[in-house]
Amino acid sequence: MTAHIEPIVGRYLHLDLGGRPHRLYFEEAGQGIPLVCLHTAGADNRQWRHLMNDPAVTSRFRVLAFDMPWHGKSSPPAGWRDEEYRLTAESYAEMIRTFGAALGLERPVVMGCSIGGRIVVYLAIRYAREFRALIGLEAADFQPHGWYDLEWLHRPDLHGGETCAAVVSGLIAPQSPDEHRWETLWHYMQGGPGVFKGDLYFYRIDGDFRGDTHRIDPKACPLYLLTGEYDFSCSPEDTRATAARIPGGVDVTEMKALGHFPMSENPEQFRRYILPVLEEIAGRR
Amino acid sequence: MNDELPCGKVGEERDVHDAEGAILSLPELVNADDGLVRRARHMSLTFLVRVGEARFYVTIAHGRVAAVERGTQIIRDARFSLSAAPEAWLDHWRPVPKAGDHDLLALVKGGRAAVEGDVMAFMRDLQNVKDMMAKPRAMFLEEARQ
Repeated sequence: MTAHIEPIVGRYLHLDLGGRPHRLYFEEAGQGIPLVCLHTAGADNRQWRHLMNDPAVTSRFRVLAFDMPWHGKSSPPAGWRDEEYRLTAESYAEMIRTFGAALGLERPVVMGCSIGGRIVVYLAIRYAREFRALIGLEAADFQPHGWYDLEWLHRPDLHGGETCAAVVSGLIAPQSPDEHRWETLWHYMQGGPGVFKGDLYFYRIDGDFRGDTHRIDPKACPLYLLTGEYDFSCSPEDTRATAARIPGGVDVTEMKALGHFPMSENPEQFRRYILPVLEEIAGRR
Repeated sequence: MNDELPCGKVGEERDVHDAEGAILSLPELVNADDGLVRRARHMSLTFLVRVGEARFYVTIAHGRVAAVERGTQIIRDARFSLSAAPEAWLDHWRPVPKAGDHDLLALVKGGRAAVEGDVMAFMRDLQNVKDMMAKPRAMFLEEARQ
C-alpha cells in the first residue's frame, strides 16, 4: 500500500454547553454545503470516516462530525466523576445548534444515525427552519422501553466495552464486511464507562416524540428517513410508523443488506443509498 | 455471502435432526477456531441448549467445547439455558439469515429464543456465546457447496 494522508482534518472547539465549558473534538473534510453528521450512541465520529473520504460527497459538501462530550476525543465536563451522564433531547439539540453557531454554519444539513436519527426527528419538530435538510438514519420518534436492562452496560464485574459491543454486534447486517464490522464494534469497545448507557437514557426515556411528530412540516425543511433492513433496534417498521405520523407522510427508504450502522458497517452499500439523497439536497440550492 | 447456493440442503429443507446434529458438532466447529477459543479462554461452565424438546448440555473448558451431551436427566445443573425451536435455530444458521434471525439477541427480542438462568454468566461471554452458537452456519454453508 502506498502511504497517503487522508483529507480529514481534526480540531478542538471550546464552547459552553448547558452553561458549562466543554472541549469538543471535531473533524471535517470538503467544501460547500455544511453537512453535520451525528454518530450513534456509545461511539464517536470515526463512524463517518468513509463519507468524509468520499470525493463524491466532499466535492459539494463541507462534512463535519463532532465527538459528543464524553465520547471519542471530546472530554467530559469538569466534575464528571460525581455525576451520572444522561443525554436528554434538549441538551443534545443544544449541542448541535451551538456547534453550528460556533462555526458559523449557515443552515446546515444534519444527518444523524440512531440517537442521531432520533434527534433529527426532534430538530424537525422544533427547529426545522434552522436547517437546509434533515436526514435520519435508523430514526424513529419512539423506542419501546427496555428489552434488556441497561445496567448490564455499566457495572464493575463486566467489561463495559466488550459488553456494549456484544450487545450491538447483532445490529450489523450479515452481509457487512468483517473489516468494517469489527472496526465499528471496536469503537464501542473504546467507549467510556457508562457513556453508552447514558446515551440510551435519551433513546429510551427522554426521546418519545410521538405526541409531537404531527408538528413536522417537511415543506419547511426536507426530511429524509433511511433505515437498514437488519436493524432490530430501530427497525424499518419503526421508521415507517414514525413517517405515518407526519402530516402528508415522508418516504422511508429501507436500505437492503445494512443494519444499524450503515455508514461504518458497509460504506460501499451505504453510498448507494445516501448519494442520491445528497444529490437531491445539493440540487435544491 | 451468497444467498443463492448451487446445491445442498438449505433452510426449509433441513429438519430437526439437522438442528440437533449441529449442536452435537459444536466441539469440532468451535475448537477448530483458534481465535474464538483464545477470546473465550476465561469461559469454563456448562450451559443448556434446548432444540425444541431436546436438551443438550454444552460444557466449555477454557474456551474449548469439552463435551456436548444429550440430556436425558431432567434434574441437572447448567449456568444458563438457550432455548429455541429447531426451525428457529435452522433459520439462524441459514447462509444469509433473514433480518430478525441473524443474531441470537434478535431471536430473543423477536420471541423466537429465550435466555434463562444465570444471565450474568451469559452476558460475561456474550460475544463468545453468540459466536459459538452461530458456528453451524459455516458448517451448513460448506455442506451446501459440496
